[in-house]
Amino acid sequence: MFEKVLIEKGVLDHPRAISILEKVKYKTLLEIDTIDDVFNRVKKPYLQKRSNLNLFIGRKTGSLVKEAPAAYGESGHPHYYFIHAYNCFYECDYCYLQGHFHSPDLVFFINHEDIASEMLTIINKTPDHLKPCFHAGEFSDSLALSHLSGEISFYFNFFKNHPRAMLELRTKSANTRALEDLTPLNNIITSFSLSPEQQIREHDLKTAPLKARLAAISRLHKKNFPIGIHLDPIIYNDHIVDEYQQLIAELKNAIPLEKINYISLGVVRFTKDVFHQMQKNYPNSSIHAGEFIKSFDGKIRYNRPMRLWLLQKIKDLLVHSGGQSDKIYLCMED
Amino acid sequence: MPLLIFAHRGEAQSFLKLDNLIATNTLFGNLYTGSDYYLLITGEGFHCALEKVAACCGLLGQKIDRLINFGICGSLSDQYKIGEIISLRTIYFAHGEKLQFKSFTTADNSACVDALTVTERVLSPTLESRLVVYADLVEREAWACASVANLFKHPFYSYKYITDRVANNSQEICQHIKDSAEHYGQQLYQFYRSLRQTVPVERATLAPPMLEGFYFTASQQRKLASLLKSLSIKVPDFSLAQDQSRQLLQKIREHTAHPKHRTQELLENLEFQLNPFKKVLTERIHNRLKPLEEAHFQVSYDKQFESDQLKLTASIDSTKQIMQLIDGLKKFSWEDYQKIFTGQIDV
Repeated sequence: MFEKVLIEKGVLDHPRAISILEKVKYKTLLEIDTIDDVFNRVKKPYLQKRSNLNLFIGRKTGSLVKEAPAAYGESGHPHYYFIHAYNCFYECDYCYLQGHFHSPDLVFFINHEDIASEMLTIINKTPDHLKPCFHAGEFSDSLALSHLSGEISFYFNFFKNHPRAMLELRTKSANTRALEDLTPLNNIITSFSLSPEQQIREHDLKTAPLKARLAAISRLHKKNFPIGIHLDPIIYNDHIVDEYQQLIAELKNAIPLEKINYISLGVVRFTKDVFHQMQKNYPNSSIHAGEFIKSFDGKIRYNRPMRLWLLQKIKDLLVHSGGQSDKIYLCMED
Repeated sequence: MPLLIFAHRGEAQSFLKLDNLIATNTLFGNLYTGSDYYLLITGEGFHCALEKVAACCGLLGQKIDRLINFGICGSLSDQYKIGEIISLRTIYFAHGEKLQFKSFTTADNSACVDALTVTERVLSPTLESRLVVYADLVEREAWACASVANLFKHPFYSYKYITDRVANNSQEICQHIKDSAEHYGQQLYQFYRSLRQTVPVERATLAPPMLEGFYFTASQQRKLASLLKSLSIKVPDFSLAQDQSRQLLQKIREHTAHPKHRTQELLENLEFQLNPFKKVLTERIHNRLKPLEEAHFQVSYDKQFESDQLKLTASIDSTKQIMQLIDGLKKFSWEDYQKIFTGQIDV
């Protein structure tokens, strides 16, 4: 699976590192001083993740929990993201990771206690009437490789002891193994990014097919795990209304819409760097058939009437199918 | 024709002898011309390669269609056998232990081995352990050649004969490698002959002749290329050569006289084909703005539709004109106009 595993000398004896090494397959194991010495130092082509993917294991230094941008999640509460891994095994052609890091190699950070410590500081500083929300999956998929990285139970334990705070595990996988043995908690939401089936096949390469994600949603819902849904990114095509109608109908079969904790809607968007990388890496993606402009925050998006039309249309479809309007929010939109 | 690049004469000997290459008179020397390739001997090392390849590309210009670097390399791992000829994939550059950020990837899509161009021979285990995290092969020239290829926008390939396992380096082995240069060259020559037919040649596309009678600025040419590419993604067999497109071009020629206006119309038409939503938006906006235009306002709005701001300009010569303008403003509905910008449209 991995060409090389590069492990910091300082964590060779760490139980989490040992556990990861027992589970992953690799050709060569190399010791390094620190991840920062090597990772991101040279420009490794993004598409080499297909044939030459390395794994780094070590400790995250510096800031571990960061404030999330505005319109990241439900309004009214402070949102943060934490960094437990870099990069993703999947290959979504619109993914911002292709313009964010200079290397597609995976990094697993194993010092979750340090992350939890920063979270605790934030929780203690947050006024009682507010709910600090922590999001995993900013630079990686939260669940795709969780059976290898093994941190889910640690966070379940932490959030069990801090019911005022919320954790979101965001994923495009159907890999819920790490969750299903745990007791569901009201303050841990597993949120699934969904798109119409055809769009998943076209754009979300190597991710779990729609059916598998819906089955995972259904499984977790039956076991009383709170569920969130991200209809993001919405990518325009001439049949989009029909496709989302179909998607919502299928989602309803997996979980009653009124039982979903929140549904976020977001139209596809890019920073300039990511857009440029996407053009280079996926020149034949049908996303290029769309017309993009530089929008209000400097990001590359569809024009405003189209974005708002898309968002309103899909929101209407959801509400019409039983979704609760006050649980639907727009992501990264003004 | 391709430009074949070698560091050492010994490695190029088979090419020189067997293909009857003729020395070309240049200021930088060691350039040879054959019937189907040029050959350049740069001398060993990054700087020699960089200077000579750049000079050669400048001299030969469009006569070169790709750069192919042949040579030898050492292996930092046991994964590869001595005597293998490897096509390089991505090439990194290291000056001692310090890595250069930029890398170059060759045009060989089937290559799967990366290499490091190094400025000094890798003789110490410490240096070896530092470098092996990035790539398994080390050599001395490929990054420089790739850098020049990138500058001149030529496809680049690099094929290296593995001569030794770096950890086992000694003075004797280094000497042996030097002495065996001709043998490596023979292997590389046979390898080149076997792959010659399959190396793809990248060619720039030419402007289609069916656009005669249209005038394109440089930016419009880029816009056209971008639209055609996007349309071919949306409609897989789309091209200007199709009947429908030919008819469109003919229609534009017939009812629009000026070449510049023809181009604007063509680009607009292609944009609307690509983006029917934009066509609807544009039509709706023009409908809403009609009262203002009929009142002889010059109206401009954000063509990217991000802002709903309107700019109105008018000339006034009489009271009658003022009344016309006022009438136009009264008939114009700002609310209906704004609705378009908030997505309240039927598509």
